[in-house]
Parts: sequence; structure tokens; C-alpha cells
Amino acid sequence: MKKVCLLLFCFVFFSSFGVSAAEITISAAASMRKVVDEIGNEFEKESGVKVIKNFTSSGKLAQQIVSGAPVDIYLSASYRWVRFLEKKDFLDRKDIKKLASNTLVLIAPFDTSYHSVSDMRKMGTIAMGDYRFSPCGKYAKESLENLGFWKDVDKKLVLARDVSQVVFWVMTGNVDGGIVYYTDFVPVKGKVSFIGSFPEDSHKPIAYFIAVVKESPNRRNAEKFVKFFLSKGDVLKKYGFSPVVDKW
Amino acid sequence: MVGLDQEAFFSVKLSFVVASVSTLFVFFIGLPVAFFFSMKQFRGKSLCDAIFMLPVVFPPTVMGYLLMLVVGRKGLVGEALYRFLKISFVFNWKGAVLASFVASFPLFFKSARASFESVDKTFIKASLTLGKGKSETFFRVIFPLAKNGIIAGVVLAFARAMGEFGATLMLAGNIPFKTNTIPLEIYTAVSSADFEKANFLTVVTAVISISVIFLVNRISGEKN
Repeated sequence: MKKVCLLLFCFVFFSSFGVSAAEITISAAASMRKVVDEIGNEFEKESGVKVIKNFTSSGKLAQQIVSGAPVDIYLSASYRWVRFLEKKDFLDRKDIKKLASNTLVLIAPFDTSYHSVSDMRKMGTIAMGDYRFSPCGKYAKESLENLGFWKDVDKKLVLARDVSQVVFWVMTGNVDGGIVYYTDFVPVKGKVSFIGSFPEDSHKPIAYFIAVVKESPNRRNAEKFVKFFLSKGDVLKKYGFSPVVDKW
Repeated sequence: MVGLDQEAFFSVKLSFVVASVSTLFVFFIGLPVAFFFSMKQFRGKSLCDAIFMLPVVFPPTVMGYLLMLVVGRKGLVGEALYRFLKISFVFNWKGAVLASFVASFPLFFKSARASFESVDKTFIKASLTLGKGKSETFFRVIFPLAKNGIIAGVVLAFARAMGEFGATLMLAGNIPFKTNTIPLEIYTAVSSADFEKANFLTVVTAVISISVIFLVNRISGEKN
């Protein structure tokens, strides 16, 4: 019995090595889901390395990494959480790369009677990501403050867990307006109304960052993936992102 | 108190109120329904039973999604409710109560039904043949015999309501000082890396739940 157990243990132990050599895990901001899916699949076909994907809000992903989640690549929708991981020594500054930017927009139910971003002061309820942790919500708050709308809309806000919840509330007509990224509006174009974009200078630039996690046991493949990802600007564009690959 | 800011303090009060109101509704609606199901045979009984159990099977977020489609501002029922009765469950504490109600109803129902069914029918017959009316038989024979299971149901329902998260977030939203129940507040705290607050609220939830459950058990035990 002991021998069988030992054998079984060895089998599990070594087979886990075998598997991990041919796969990488990427934790990506939920708003990048489609892009990561598409580029991930292409990468799998080209390199034979399996790409395991994990999506939720950037903050949650960072928390998971700090708690010891075995992640090779982190793709964040905000600099804040990249910085958070860098400070905790999970990321190396030289590994962090900016890959795309996005725009903040106001959407409304299809039958809306509002026409411009400034109309939001007249709206009854407005949904946006929770500004205490959602990057989209943070940008939105910053923008509303700079535009001088914050005091008018503060009490009408319904805070969502993530952008998809905002889109759902808008689509079902439960809120008068919702603040989301342009890329979240693209897939629901025919189902909600586009009211307008927030001025780009009303908030910090919305940037996405990608980095290989410091302790990654699959660093070689992970770096290969990041390089591959950064060369796929066309996929980013297809989903509404503006690719920016530069030193910063 | 350490770590308990105004918002967190509000969430504790709100959660307690929401869970209590929800449990009251669960009890007063669930009890007759469970009794009816345990005594009567009718077509589609097991189908109804299965439908009541859906909230246990569905992930809470899915439940919230369905609730939103039904009672949302433009939902099947929600639109009429608002137009005729001016009642809305969207983005207010009533939504949190409804979400908790739906999530905890099946737990109470199952428990109460099972305990009604376990009451020996000969006692009921004896009571009726000895001239006691239906309501007296219910309150003086059936209810006391089924009491333990019913109380267990109340405890389960309250505990579940205290912890309701997914459907609440979907239906009631997370609005500070309006719908931020403890689970939502813990979620926010963890998401924004405020672990001190999260830990504190977790302890508060545990203390409230344990106290209430202990109290309920104590009250029910004393009468025995």
C-alpha cells in the first residue's frame, strides 16, 4: 500500500512538472478578455504552449498574485495595480510594458432622450464602476470632478462591480446612463445608445500594461508571449483599443 | 471602534435590518406554503418544489440577473409594479431584501416542510376527532411538534440572508449609505486592499450571526 502511494505521489509530482513546462497562465483585466482570447489562441497554435487565462478586475487579479496565485503574466487596466505589485516586489520595472489606451464614454438605454455628456447632470441614475477599486470608475470620478459634474451626479451614482455590470444595467434600462470604456461599448453597439466621449484631458491617460511576474517559473515562454502580444496591434484595434507600444 | 468608519457602521445596521425583514417575510410566507405542501397532494407539486429550490442551485449572480429581468425598471413585473403601486426593487434596500428573500426562502421551505411531514398523522387525527378545530390543531398540536425543524429553517434563512452577495449587488447595486450591506462592504474593502476593514467586518458578521442563531436556539430550547 505504501509503495502504491509513493508511486502515485511520484506520478502526480512529476507529471505536474511535465504540464507546467508547456503552459503559461495570464491574469488579464476583464475588459481585455476578447483580445487575450484571440491572441492567446493564435499563440497556442504557433508555439504549442498552452495559455491559461484568468479574467476579472485588475485589482482583484493583483490581490490574487499577492496571495500566491501561480500567474506568469499580468495584464492590468490601470497603472495603480501595476505599481502596487511592483512595490510588493512581484513585478520588475523593466518588465512592465504599456500596450494600449482606451477612451471613457457615456452610454444610455436605446430609447434615451439624452444627447450629450453634459446631459448626465439631468439623468436620474448613472452607473459606473466602483471608484474605490475599479480603474474605470476611478477614471470616471476623476473626469467628473475635472468637468465639474461630480457634485451634481454624486448622489445619483450606482456603483458596479465591473464594467460588464454597468453595460447590463444600461441594456436593461435600469439606469439612465452608464460610464464605460469605448471598448465595452463596441460589442453592444446595436443595443445601447452612444451619448459621447469624455474629454481625454479630463482624466489621466487610460493605459493597459502587461508584465511578466517576477517569480514566474515559465519566464521564457511568458516573455515570448508578451512579445507576441505586443506585435498584435491589429487585434487590439479590432476591439476598439488604441495600441501604443512605447518606452515610458 | 477600530476600523469601523461611518460607511461600515451603516452597512452593519443595514445588513441586520435587511436580514431581519427578509427572514420575517420568509417565515410568514414560507410557513403556510410549507404546511400546504406537506398536507395536500396536487398536480405539479414536485415541479413547484423544484422551482422553489432553483435559487439554491443557481449561482447568486445568475439569480440577480433573473431578478433584474423580472422586477427591473423595464422588467416583466417591475414595470407594472412601478406604474401602479410605485414600488421599485431596483437600487434600493427593498431590492436587497428581495434578493435575500429569494436566496433564503428555499432553505426555510425545505426544513419546515420536512418537519411538518414528520408529524405523526395520528396525533392530528386524534386532535380533530376529539373535537378541536383546525386552527387549534395546527397551533397546539402540529406546530409544537414541527417546531424544531421550523426554527432550524429560520436560523438557516437568517444566516443565508446575512451573507447574500451576488444577487444583492446585481439588483440593489452598491450604493454607499443606501444598499451597501456587509458582504458588499467586505467585497469593496478586499477589492481596494483595505484588509483591516474586511477582517473587522468579517468578525462583525460572524458575531451577529452567531448571536442571533444562539439566541434563537436558546429561546426555542427554553420552551421545551
